Amino acid sequence: MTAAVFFGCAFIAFGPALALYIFTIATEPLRIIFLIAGAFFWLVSLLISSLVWFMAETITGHRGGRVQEYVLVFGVLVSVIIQEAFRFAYYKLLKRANEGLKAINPDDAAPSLRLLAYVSGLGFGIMSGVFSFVNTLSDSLGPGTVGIHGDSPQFFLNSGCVLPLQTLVSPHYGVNLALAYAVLVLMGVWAFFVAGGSGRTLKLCLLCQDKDFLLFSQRSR
Amino acid sequence: MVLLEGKLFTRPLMEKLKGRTKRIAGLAVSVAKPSPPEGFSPSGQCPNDGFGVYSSSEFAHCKVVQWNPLGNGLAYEDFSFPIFLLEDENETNVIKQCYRDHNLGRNGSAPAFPLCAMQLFSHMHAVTSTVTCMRRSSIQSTFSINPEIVCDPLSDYNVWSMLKPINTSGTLEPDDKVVVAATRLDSRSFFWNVAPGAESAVASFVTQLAAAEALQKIPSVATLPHNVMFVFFQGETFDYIGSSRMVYDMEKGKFPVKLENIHSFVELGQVALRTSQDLWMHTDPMSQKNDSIKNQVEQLLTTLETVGAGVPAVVLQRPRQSQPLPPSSLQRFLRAQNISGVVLTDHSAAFQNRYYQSIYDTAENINVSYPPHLSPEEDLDFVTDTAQALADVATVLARALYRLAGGIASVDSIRADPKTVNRLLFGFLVKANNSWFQSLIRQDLKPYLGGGPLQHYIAVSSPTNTTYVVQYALANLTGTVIDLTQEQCQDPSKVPNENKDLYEYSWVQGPLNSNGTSRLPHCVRSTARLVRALSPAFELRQWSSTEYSTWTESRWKDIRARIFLVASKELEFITLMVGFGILIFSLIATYCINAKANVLFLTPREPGAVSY
Repeated sequence: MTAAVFFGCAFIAFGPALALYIFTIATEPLRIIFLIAGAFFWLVSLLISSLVWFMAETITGHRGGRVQEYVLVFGVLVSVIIQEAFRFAYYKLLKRANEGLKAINPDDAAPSLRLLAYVSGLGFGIMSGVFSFVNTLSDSLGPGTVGIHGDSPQFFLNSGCVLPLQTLVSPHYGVNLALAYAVLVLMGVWAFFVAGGSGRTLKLCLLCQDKDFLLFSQRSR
Repeated sequence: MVLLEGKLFTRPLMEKLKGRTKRIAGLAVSVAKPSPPEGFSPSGQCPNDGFGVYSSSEFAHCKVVQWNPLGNGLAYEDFSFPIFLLEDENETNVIKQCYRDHNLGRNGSAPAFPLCAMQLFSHMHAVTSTVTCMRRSSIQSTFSINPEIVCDPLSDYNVWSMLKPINTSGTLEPDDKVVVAATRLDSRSFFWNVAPGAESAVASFVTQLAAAEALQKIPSVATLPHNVMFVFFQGETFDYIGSSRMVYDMEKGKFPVKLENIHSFVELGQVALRTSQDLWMHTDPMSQKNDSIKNQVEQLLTTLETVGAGVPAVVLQRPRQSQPLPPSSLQRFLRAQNISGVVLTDHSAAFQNRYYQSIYDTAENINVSYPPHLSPEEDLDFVTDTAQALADVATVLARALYRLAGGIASVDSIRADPKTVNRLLFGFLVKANNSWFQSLIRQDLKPYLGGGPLQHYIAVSSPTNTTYVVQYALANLTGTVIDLTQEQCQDPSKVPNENKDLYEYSWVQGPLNSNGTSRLPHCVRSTARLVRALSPAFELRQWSSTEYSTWTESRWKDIRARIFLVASKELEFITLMVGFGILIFSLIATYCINAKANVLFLTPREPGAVSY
């Protein structure tokens, strides 16, 4: 019944991640280890930021209203800062580990830093996604759907596509949704360029002119 | 799912709903406030038919008198969908609000998804009949390591006490005669565990408790020729479970009193709704065909009338000749042996009670109401008119029992206390958790007092709240406080003058001390005891017996209900398809990008690999 909704939303949310995992990570054991370590580091960062928020709550003494809001905003900012700090720490750790790996296994090609960046980023992203979405997913297993207090019935569909759940809170959810989709697209484009792609390579790939390109770049040696 | 107003819960409507079993998934009924004026009784028109004494005579099946003409028999019908009772107004309003918000179409069109839905969980493990479920349970318990029992017989305990203590380890001599005063403890309704039973049970046993108290106060009690036994039968609503078991035990000699010891039998039927102060005395015409019994019954009736003359508020009447007994425990005794007995009721033919064994048989039905400005503690001392009327009936009963037991002194000093009657009525019908009930019971029985009034359904786990409270109330009203410590009270075999066979000793909480901080517990010695009330059919393993009651209750896992919104099937399908689509698209895209990765993503050249 709403097993349909459960599976649909699970696939929407985790389909791309699953595809990336199957084709790029699952082939090499070292990459799997880096992925899981990355996910674990994200969890630790979340734990520390939640401790900070909890302490802030206790200090301000559970007063409701505006104070609670400020504490929440403070908590979110702290959480972002701590997450970035942990990313940096993980990068440092990987650099050290790389040298260690080279020492143990001089024959096998060490994974390049770019690859490590990709794998650890995927690990962080998967864990963050799971954490945000699994609660909603488990609720979707029951026979009902949202809306009894006035929410939209397309809640599951949208929240699957856009992992952040601010749509629940905000009354102007339409505007928020469009904004979130736009941010998603922008992020995707930026990631593509950061990873080394460019408009030229994309065009070459899509028009299947890559063989000439490779030959061309080799000839220039 | 149907949400039904209480006043529409009638037999014709239920027949219609039952006829379309495919479309009705469940029913939620809200209590009608005020009670339906035309009356409502889910019981049959001839209660306990076939288990009394008139099974095969000219009085069978209520041919002469229909005792419960308003009965529609709904409680004995089989419904294949769950039916829940909504007692709380707020819950009903939440459901109605959900319906108004989502399930009403605009401008006459069909309502759009999402729609409001309700789910009622009430899975019953037993099916078909007692025979089937008991057979399955017995196979399970014989052969399985972890038996799965599917139903339990209805059982509990009868409460009984003697005016003069007797040795319960043996049986009485045949010459010892006993006058039996009996009444019932339980009631039922259409819904599980809701059984306010004000007129059908509570008023009667409260009257008998008051009569027991009045009799015990007489100083010359020990010199009476005959003994008096007060017994409160549990399970009479379900084909006389308690009384049939007691008769069976008496026949087999397992009970200290035997059938031949019974001198006479006075039963209290429904007594709270007397019109113009009449109290009717019903007797059995069939046993009176025997002359000696006829004379004894005549003596019994004259004793009652003489005693009744001294109480102007009660006028004893005899119904017309050759009218059968109403449904009563006396019928089970007459099945076994001809004894002289009488049943006192407030109705001459059909019941005065228009809500017999239904959810509306509450304090309101017998006009027990307290002024709103009084606190619960003040209510305990405010004597209502009903309490006074029942106290008058109790006075008549106590005086009659004294005379029947052979007492010759003047009976004018025997009076039932209206305050006691009122306190008992308040506790059983309005608020069980009051200071008087708290002081009566043992400490570990405090949770049995619950929140509001007590429910008097027999249930399957025993003893129930009502049984315990009646036993301890009887102990308090007829027993004496003795000076023993808690250890001595719990095990009096070591104490020289006390005898566990004669008496029952209980360590009760006692009243609050003057500061109101702690209680003053003490030991109460009385003859109030419990005796098992399980139908003999289950002892004899005759599950299809027509001789004894075979009522059982199914087991279940959990009973709950919830409301929520359901989305349209199209939306769910779309969600699933979109999910699959995104999964497949991302698989393909990732594969392609992965294959062309070295083209798409230029790695910055390592310093050292220079192109010339």
